[in-house]
Amino acid sequence: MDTWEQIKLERDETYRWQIGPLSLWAQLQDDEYLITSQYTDEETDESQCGPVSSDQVPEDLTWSRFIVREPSIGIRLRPALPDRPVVVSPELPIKLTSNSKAVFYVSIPVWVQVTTGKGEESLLMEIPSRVLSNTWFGDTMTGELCYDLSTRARREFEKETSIDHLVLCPVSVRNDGSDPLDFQKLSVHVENLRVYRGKRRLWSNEVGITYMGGDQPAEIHYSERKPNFEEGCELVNRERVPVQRSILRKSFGFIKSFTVSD
Amino acid sequence: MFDAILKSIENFLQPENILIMVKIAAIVLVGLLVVRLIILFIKRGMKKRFSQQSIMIARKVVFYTGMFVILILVLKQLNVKLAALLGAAGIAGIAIGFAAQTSLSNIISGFFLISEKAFAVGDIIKVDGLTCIILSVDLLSVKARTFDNQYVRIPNEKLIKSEVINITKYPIRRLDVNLSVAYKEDLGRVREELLDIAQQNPYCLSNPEPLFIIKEFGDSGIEILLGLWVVKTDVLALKNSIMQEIKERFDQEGIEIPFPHVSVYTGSASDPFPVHVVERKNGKELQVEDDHTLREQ
Repeated sequence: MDTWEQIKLERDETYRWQIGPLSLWAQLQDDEYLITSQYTDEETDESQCGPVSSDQVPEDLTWSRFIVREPSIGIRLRPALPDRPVVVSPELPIKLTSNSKAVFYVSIPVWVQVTTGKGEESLLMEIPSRVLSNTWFGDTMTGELCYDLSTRARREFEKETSIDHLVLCPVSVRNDGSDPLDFQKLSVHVENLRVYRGKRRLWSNEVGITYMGGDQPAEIHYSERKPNFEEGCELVNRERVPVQRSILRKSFGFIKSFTVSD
Repeated sequence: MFDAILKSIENFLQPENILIMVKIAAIVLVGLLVVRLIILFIKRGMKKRFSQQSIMIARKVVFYTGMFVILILVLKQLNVKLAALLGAAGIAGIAIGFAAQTSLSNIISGFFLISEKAFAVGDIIKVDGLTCIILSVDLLSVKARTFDNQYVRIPNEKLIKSEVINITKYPIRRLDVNLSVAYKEDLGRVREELLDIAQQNPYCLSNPEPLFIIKEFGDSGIEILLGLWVVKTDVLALKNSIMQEIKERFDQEGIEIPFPHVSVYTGSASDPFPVHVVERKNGKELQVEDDHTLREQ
């Protein structure tokens, strides 16, 4: 069964989804949905879902209850991108010479949105498929709170692999400065990206980051087109925060030393 | 006397005086209404782009200016000669200046505090051992609230003269955890465990990286500083969770956090201090043997 399609639950039926390390259960009782979740060590490339017996649900979990107007419509899970920027490091230290360009692929764990309703769906809850640690992008006086990705920004992706709990984000980095670009970290504002679904994977629209040199903010360009790495990509979720096509932001992190004071 | 009072009231309530009073009432009412409207527009217009403090200052400037203009208009209606008033004010000013030195100092200090932007409304500051949240920066003083909900008024002059620590100026802070481990512990393993705890704690930021410093060889153990970076709103949550996690992990891994202690030697590094357990019975001192029997010394 398809993880991201609408499911109609029967009364007192329990349904389970396994999306990455996230296990999600839902039950329908009268006019309310009960939803609970847990992070486990079991993880597969492709998500799984299906009805289970209620005694298979671990006992110590806390259920959230949602009273809905039309419970018969069913619930749907939607893949979304995180609500904050993510910081990622290239898999190997890399130097981008002046006037050159490189494309990196960043795998981002999905945020699972549980929705219900027909047409305009209402969001019941949202939960990350993987708990990401917090990190700070910037210096100790200014900056922004981001998620730290344990995955790396890679130059290639495995074309034949199907992974539907990670969104692959193509990031094109261009160096328009006069010096080589030697960066350790890259900040990607995923809250401005959309989610597309191909046959094998989830994708975001392409981000172009142009380095202007020195400590200047980078120019960020968000593509309006569908990603063309896979045929038949369809839009499944819009960006959380719409932005103009091109903005200026600090995107690159270099080696910084923090002075220690007693 | 009653007749005299009645006559003076009758003289006052002449048509021209009633007209003046009506004009003054109209000036005051319309003036107050206009001032309120201007303040409302300021609040709405500045809400999105300016800080709470800037909006508050703008409101006070408009309010005091408006009151001053209303006062001038009222005095004009009463035919008070403003030139003479200003002259008298000059002399009065000197007298008031001497009497109001502290207040003037507070007012001037207030302007400097605002222009320096050392802190703003909503910031948490520490001054002279007092930690509080700024509620407003006013003409003479700063109003604040302590964490146990007490109201504090701090004269501006005091703030200008004192060292003020703005705890929430920057978005992130470093929380320093001081601990000590026994001399017998493997410092490499201690470092790994502490950094692992930091990495797993949801409030601890992975960048800037946690700091591990061996401070000194203390009297009872090796002193360590663990510096953890956290978003300023999560400081308390991190402090509570990390202390518990360190204790639990150290207990689990058998890493000793030593009590303060002193080792006493007899003069030779290897010989133990001879210790005899004795018991007094019938006025005599008896030594307790290993098999718990008593032997006379």
